[in-house]
Amino acid sequence: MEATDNEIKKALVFKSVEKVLLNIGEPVLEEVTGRLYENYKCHLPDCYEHPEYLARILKDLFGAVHLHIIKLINKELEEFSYQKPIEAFLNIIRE
Amino acid sequence: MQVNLQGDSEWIAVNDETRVRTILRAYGDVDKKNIMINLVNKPDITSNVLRKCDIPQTSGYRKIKELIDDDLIVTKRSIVIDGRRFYKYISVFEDLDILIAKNNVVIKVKMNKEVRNMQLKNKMNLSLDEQITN
Repeated sequence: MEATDNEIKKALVFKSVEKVLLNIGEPVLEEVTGRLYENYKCHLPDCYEHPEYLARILKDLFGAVHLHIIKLINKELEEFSYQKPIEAFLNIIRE
Repeated sequence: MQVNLQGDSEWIAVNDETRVRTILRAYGDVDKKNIMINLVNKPDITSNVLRKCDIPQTSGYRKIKELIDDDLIVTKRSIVIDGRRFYKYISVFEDLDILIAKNNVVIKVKMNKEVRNMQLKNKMNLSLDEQITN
């Protein structure tokens, strides 16, 4: 298969985070992607390798409410959390 | 879906967001991915494919059903063993490619030739039926 396991997981995590942020509102997604680039020169799919960037931005933007967003992302990816890299991603954004 | 007919291979870019997520969720599941890979070249019945992929029956039957509901595997034909009918399934896609660029992910799939031929056959039968009716 052309797509690697890592690419599939990266795309899956990206699409799940994007879906959660889009459901809250397009401006929220834009703000998060904007800050990711501004602060870390990275894009939303890169958060698979750097979940701490996403966690930090959500915390800065939403304060205590960020926990609710983390919960939504967790719900989206829960069924894949038996896979180590996804479990690691979820653990870091939950910290 | 956008069809690319350049070269020998027929890759399709999947543009529909819901479909993209369905495909990623299926390929992101280790068992479902193994089932789909196993059913690319040779159609098989559920019990055989679950045994080959070493998936427990209970969760396996549920996963096969989800793959059928998501149109990721389809019935190729049925066989009768000891008076019982069993369906042989085949994967709709034979390959998957992912392009990640900035804030965008493009999913490209390669349709299984067998499935393409089945669809073509069905289309031809339909148009023949229409001609007969008219």
